Amino acid sequence: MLIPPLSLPGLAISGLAQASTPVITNNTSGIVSGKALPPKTTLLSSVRTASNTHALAQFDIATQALSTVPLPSRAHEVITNPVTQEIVVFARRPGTWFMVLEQTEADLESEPNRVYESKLQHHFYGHGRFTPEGRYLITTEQHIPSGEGRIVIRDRERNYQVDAVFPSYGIGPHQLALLSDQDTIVIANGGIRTHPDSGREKLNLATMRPSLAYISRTSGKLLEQHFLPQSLHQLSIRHLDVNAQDQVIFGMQNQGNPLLLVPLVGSHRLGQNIELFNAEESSLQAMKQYCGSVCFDTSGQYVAITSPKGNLVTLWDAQSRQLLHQFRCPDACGIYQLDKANFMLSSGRGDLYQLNIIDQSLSKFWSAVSDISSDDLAWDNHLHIA
Amino acid sequence: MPKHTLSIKCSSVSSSKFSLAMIISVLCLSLSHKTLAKPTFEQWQQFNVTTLNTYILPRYKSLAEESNLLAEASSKLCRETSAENLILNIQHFHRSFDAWQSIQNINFGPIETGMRGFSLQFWPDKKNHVGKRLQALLEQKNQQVLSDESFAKLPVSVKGFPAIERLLFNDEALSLFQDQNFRCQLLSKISHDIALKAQALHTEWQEDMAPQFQNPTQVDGYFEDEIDAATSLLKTLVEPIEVIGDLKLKRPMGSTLGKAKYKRLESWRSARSARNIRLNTESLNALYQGLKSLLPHSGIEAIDSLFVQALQQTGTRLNTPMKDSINTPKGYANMTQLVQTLSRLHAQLESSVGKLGIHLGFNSRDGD
Repeated sequence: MLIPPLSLPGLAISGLAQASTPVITNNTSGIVSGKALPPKTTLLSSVRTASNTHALAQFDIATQALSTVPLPSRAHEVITNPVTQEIVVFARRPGTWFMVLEQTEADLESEPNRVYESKLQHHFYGHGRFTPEGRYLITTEQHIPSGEGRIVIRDRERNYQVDAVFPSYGIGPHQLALLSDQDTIVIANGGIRTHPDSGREKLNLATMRPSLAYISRTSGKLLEQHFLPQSLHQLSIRHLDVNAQDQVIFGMQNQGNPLLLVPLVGSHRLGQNIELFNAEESSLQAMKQYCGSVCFDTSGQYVAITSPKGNLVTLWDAQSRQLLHQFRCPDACGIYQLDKANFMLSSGRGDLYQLNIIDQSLSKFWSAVSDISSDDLAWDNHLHIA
Repeated sequence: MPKHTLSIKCSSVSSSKFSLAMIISVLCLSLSHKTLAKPTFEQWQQFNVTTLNTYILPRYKSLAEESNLLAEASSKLCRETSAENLILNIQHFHRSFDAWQSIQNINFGPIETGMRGFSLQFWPDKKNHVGKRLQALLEQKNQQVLSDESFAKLPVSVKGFPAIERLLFNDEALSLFQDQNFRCQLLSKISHDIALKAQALHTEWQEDMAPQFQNPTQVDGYFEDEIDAATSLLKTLVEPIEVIGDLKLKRPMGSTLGKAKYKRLESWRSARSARNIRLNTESLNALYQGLKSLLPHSGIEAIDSLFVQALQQTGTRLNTPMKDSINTPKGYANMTQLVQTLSRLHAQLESSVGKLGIHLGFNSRDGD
């Protein structure tokens, strides 16, 4: 194995493809309706508090006011209903609850927050999406007795009763997204079997077979499914994002030999083959075999990916498949588009960062230690901005 | 459900550390429930630079020097393959491996480049990569692999101390070296490669990392600020204690005495499993001594006494080689006790460091 010259992970990597400065267009793709939404003002995330409890944090970007609501246990993703703006918080796997909160209320206490159980002998994987008209909630779940992945559709208008249950066509479905036809669901089947009796222990690493599956949300029919080459079968496909052109970018976590440098990012479009993104050996090494969150920018051309184990965030051109830049960002995992030019990042150390795509710079936006009362707050894995 | 509203008074993160410190101290006064004084940026900077100069650099220097002597000893053994030179080589193996065990906890910076950490010590070796690859090389006897270019392409598992250990700690080592010239040349090549890596680590820490610690807020620097640099150092104090407990003790011990597997111990061939843990603990204690003045008083006494206990438990009670004692009730009980001490030490250190406002990692340790 060649030993590359020293390149400290925190320093700008001069050998990277120096793509020209990204051009940010006025394309507001990503918003399916095409209507301009009001500017995003609220940052939402699960947090660990100083007293080691878990809470939903709401952070007002303009005033920097922070409020928290206690949660039954550790949560994972937070999403908002695109129409009603209600907040939904999902339990972290193998949790069995999700909570619905009214974002519009000034006082979160005034209406009891609604907690729903998974039922059906299922547990959640911590991710979900609303359909664009805001009526149906789609989640990734495990049918515990069989260990199989399920996609469950619940009807908000009927108090989140289960409307349909479909196979995810794999084990360990994690994040999902809806394509622009508003019917096709793309699912990251991570491939890893766990059982609540043994917590988060991975039970099938030797035989795991992650995949990207596309199903119809109305019929549940499998439309397409794509697997990685057998030599990469221990690369768990976990998180993904999709742009307005239905390009899916996914981030992976390697469960195989930690000494083998493998691609950690890939792209897919319906009807085509999976394309894996390559990068300099030193960059792959710095990502530490692990992607935490994946997020397109508003134009759908650029993708930012966090690698918390490497204290790293990478910025990629989704079209040319080039790594544009990498930044040291301690313990950062949550990432979300803020506006046309910026992503917001959240860190387990309590900090929020802004990643500017145009000048490819990272700057600290807010720090929990700047206020004694929010001290020791840790932003959990995923971030949402509404 | 109760609601907790925290309103943030700072409109932005102040660029001036002094004014930030003032705001924090005013808030401290107004919220008197939390009165612990956290170290200032200046105090962290002093801790960082002192740790760099009195802990990290001297230890990498020692590793470089000892590895150099190991390389020389292996050359000598190959020139004159005698019992005396083999003993000398084994002595230098121990000395250089001592030096490595005393800085093994540093897992960031130059050690990450080119997988140097794995390349110095591929362990735990769950699939016996070292054994299989080394055996293949010994059978092929291909002189070509001894060239710098070919050697560089070999897997990292055969380039470190565990491969040397296998070659040296073999009842027939001397006659095998005498009979097989290639075997000694391979030993020597690996030893020289270790020396080169150790030298590079020391040089890069002096030339690349030291300036990062001296000026942690520089543009495009490795660290964000003094606290970020201190966090990197504190991780190398707290996290290895858990790793020692998990990998060096609990994994070989298994769930019960009957399930203990001595071959899962680190360095069982050279009978230095306990010695490694003792060196690790001594080194971590030295790192802790530099931090002590910044820690809240409440935790210091407990940490001090846990370090003393851990050192006693590695040094005196485990004098029989761990590979022999692990399968005896007494030895197993002693190891269990050490596991418990290390676990308490880890919890106590993590909590004390947490009180200083240092987050060792949340997403980096527990993602999904």
